[in-house]
Amino acid sequence: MMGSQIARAEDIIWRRIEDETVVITDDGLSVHVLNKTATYIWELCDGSCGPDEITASLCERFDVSSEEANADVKDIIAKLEQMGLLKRAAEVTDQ
Amino acid sequence: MSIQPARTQRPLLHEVMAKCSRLNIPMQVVLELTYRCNLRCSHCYIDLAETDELSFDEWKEVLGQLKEEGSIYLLFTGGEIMVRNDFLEIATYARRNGLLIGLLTNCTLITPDISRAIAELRPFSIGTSLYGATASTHESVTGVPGSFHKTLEGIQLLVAAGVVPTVQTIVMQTNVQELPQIEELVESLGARSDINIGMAPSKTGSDFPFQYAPGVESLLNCGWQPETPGPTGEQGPQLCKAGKANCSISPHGDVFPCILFPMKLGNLRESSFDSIWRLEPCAELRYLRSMRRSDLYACNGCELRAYCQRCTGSAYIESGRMDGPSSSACRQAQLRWQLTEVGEV
Repeated sequence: MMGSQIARAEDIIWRRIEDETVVITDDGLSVHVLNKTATYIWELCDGSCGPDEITASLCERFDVSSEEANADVKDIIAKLEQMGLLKRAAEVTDQ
Repeated sequence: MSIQPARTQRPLLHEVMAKCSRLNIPMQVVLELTYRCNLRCSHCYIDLAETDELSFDEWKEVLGQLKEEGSIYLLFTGGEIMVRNDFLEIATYARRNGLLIGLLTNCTLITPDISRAIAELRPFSIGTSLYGATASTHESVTGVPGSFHKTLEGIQLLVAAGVVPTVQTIVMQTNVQELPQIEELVESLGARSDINIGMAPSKTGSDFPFQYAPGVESLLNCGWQPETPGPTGEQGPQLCKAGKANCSISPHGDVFPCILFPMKLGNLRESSFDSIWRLEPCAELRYLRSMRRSDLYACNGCELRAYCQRCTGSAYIESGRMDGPSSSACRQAQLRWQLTEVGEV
């Protein structure tokens, strides 16, 4: 079974401030602020989880259906990837 | 659930800073690595001599504590940071540990190797100073023969390495007739010019730097016009983020609300940063954080408040009260008003 794990881009500076996350590019000039849901997903993107695990975690944490959570996870990861803040870790094959 | 997971705009930085200020998160910290300097600038506000500087290991501990408190932007300054042989090690350590760095340097000690190392740090800013368009004018301020060409060479090395420094010029009696030439020179080097009339009292409270400030008439007749000399708004300037989102740390570990605000809050050899900043803030720091514009008893009725860029630290030095008047800000507000209303000298 194949899984695509998600990791934060290297050289990204980020700090949690209350329930939001501030992400700053390494030149210090581009600032992004992630909302509460994106922050929850962001913190799980440590290279050890894929979208399925993140969706399951989101369902557990928030009172949402798996369909809604799955759509949010896909949407948020896609947007953060587009911004260059997240990357797909190398494909990992489970034994 | 989320519709707009991430907002991305430069003005967001101001929003983030305002939030850090409200939560007392020291987002921006000025680190004074040393008060030693290889130049002797006549107007320099540092009239202290500290020799018991924090070691590299002590700075590493401080940097770890700052990151824990939420710091993001660090500005390394002096003195001249490069008289410390380990300044690059400290800056590199900070960068590798998730902190963004800026540098203030006179550029005289920059070598090709140092310029490349600085470029690798990807500083969010690098600032230097130029006091004249000619060696004689610049060195009449720095007091060191050869410093003009060394500074220009340092700027060129940085530009060649891909770093664009901001070259700051404080307007003084000696250079007021050279301001357009300074701008041209800086631009010809590939750097950014920033000319300003702001001069600060010294750290010990002396007003000797102001003896070098130019008069209004010479400014009006010098052929240079500040880009934004005009009003700061009907309400006047907002209170700054000193002691809230900003602080500074001296070469031997004293913590201050800001580099221009010599109200010692504690020392990092005696207490941890979170103890000084968050757990046991002193009464003065608590008052600073609670201050409102309406507390500025001498400023609220001032007719020049729209032209004022009051600095709470300077007010503290000049009046002995952080909510008191700042005589230098009053003079500069008068100057801005006159520059705006050209001819009203």
